[in-house]
Amino acid sequence: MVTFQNTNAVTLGPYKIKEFDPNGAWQLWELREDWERSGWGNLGQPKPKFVLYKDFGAEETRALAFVQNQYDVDTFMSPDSIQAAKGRNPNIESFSPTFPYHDMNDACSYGVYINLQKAPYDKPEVRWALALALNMQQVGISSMSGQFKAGALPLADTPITGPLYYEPLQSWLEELTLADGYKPYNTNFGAELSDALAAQGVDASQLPTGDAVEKGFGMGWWKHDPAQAAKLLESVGMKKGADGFFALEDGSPWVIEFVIPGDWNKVIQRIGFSIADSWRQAGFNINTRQVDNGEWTTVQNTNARNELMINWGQSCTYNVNWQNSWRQFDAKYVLPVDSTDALNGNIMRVTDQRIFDIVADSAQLPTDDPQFLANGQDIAKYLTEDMQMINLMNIPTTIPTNKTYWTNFPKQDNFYAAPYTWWSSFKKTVVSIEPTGQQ
Amino acid sequence: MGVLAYVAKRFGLYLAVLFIGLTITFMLPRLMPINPVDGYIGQIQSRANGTLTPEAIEEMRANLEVLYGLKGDILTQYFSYLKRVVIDFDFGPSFTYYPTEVSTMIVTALPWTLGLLLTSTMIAWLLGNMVGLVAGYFHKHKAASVLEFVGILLYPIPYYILAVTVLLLLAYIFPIFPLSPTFPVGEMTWAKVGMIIYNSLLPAITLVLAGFGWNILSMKALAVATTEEPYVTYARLKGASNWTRMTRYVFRNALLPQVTALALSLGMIFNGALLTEIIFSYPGIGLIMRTAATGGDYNVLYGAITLSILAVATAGLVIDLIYPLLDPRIRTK
Repeated sequence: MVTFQNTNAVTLGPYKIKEFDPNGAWQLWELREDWERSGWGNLGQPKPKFVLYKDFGAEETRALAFVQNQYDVDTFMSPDSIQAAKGRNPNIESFSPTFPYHDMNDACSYGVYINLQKAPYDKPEVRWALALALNMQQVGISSMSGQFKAGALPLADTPITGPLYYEPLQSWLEELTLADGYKPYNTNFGAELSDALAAQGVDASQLPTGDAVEKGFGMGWWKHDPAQAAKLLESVGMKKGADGFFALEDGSPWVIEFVIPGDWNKVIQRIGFSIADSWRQAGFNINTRQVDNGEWTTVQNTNARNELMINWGQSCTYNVNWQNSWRQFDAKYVLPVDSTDALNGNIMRVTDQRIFDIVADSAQLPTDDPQFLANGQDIAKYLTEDMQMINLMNIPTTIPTNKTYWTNFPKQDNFYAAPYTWWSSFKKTVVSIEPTGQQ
Repeated sequence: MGVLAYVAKRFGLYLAVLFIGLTITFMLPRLMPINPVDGYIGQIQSRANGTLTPEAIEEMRANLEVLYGLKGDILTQYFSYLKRVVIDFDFGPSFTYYPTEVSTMIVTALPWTLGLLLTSTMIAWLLGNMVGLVAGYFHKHKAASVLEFVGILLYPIPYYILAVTVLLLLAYIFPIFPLSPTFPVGEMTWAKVGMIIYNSLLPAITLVLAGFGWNILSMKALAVATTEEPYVTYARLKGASNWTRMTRYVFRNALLPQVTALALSLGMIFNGALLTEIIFSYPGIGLIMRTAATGGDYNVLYGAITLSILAVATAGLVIDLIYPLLDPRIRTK
């Protein structure tokens, strides 16, 4: 029987736990006197003597406390609250002073995961119809106030993955053609989004221009074309019924169950509702079901419970080594479509033998072999051409800071570390921030 | 019916309620579409940014099922649960905060919940009933209408709105109280006691305001009805003073349903005040239950719900036993 209660934390770093709330509301870390002999003493002396992690409660309370300068860095505050807080306190800053304002460099991405084994989603025409019926511009503006970076490939478009996957595959995306000759890719997505935001009154100085458009809003996304979506569905015998919604091949009603997070992840919850709204406008009958995080994981892992859901943790590709995430594409992790057993891998429900073969072959290659990267690009192509997952956007990591007491936090134009306070990159932050002297 | 037979009947009913409650408590989490093992693996996978291998997940799943006692048929699990809970009062470790014992989590959170809710419930009850009694007894006076208006004004406001309004007013616009409390740990000193009281005042004020309105309206209605009773008229004709009639004739007779409501509210405080705890970031049993429900932490749910069932059932038993003392009519039946 384990007897170690996980407290106090054993650390190698220059901080040690001083006190913590047994109810989990806060923990206070104190700088060790012998910080130089700690695991990262070589980085220099951390400036703060204490670091306090604290749960300030509901977002409303957090935003008010942030405006009152009660803390320095927030995590995952919604764009609306950040905007409101910035309006009331000039010391509050987002990651970037211009659109899309937030850090977009997380290795994972938001996407609509489809149970590829379940009819009618086992048909690529149906999946493409869903992608083309999704009005990404409207979704991004209504749920994220336009503060997002779109990505059409099944991975995030970061400064690292961009040159490895997105840039080499851009021309392939532009030439991608569906069976009926239709080209679904829209390279002007970013520029059109920028125009739409300007038309809505966003100050031009806040919007990216030139090359910054692609860096800010992404290299492109799928066209919004409900007519082509209808054509694709009709090609597999699915037409609109008398109720105005698309029906199954035999004419029976088709209600899509779309699972999204409840209040525990408000950003994705809002994106989910916007997507459902977009699909409904295009004639899809959607049942959007919000679930708690416990049920969300069960839906993710159980074939019998899963149809369509928003997900983000299964396409995390940091660099050339795509095996980190995609090694899970293996036939041994495919369960029957009605299985109630939990999946241990292959959460995307890929059944594409071509992909399984590439994954198996690549296991024999060193990750710095050019063929290894080419194999990863091929997987991205197969996943995309059959629309096996509708990738949406990079995860907008909203980390506003308050420079009343400390300055020099990581920002877009001062990107010395990833701005996350819960990652190892924070050790670089604590040695780089500077006190303002304000008491 | 003799006193012993009366007490035995009530006690038997109490035990039956507990047994049924414990059985339902065992079944409910298992009917939820949540698997605690999946929940835990999901957390770990999320922290690892999706880099856990499928083989590692498979192995972890098998180990967690054994560790959490989720192997074996449901009857075996049920009898093992009854034995642990009834005989040892042991709910095992939390799944989410493994290996922390559920009893430790409850013991840590309960004083905060009790301290806040017990105090605010009692104050709301006392104040509400006093105001309601005066408003009801003098219901023909204009001042009584003003008092009643306070109740009508407060009662229908949704708690969330009331709490956020109070928060905005007393912590943001007029920053008298902290927006988010920080409670000290370690050895208790008078300074720390003062800090705890200061940090708890804002949630307490909202709870008093929220409970106050119902008590005013309820007591006022009872007091108006009782004031019209013949024995109150008789007391007036006999020359009893307003004070005597109000306190000894009206209040005592109107009190019975209010005592029932108070006892039930006191039982319910073991459920915690979830919204209060979320809005004010106040540590308590409600937050623990919510986290357990969303994460499928069966053992914490068992512990917290069992405690709640025990509290409500015991409150019901105590009411049953003290009723004859409060109301002689029950004694004579």
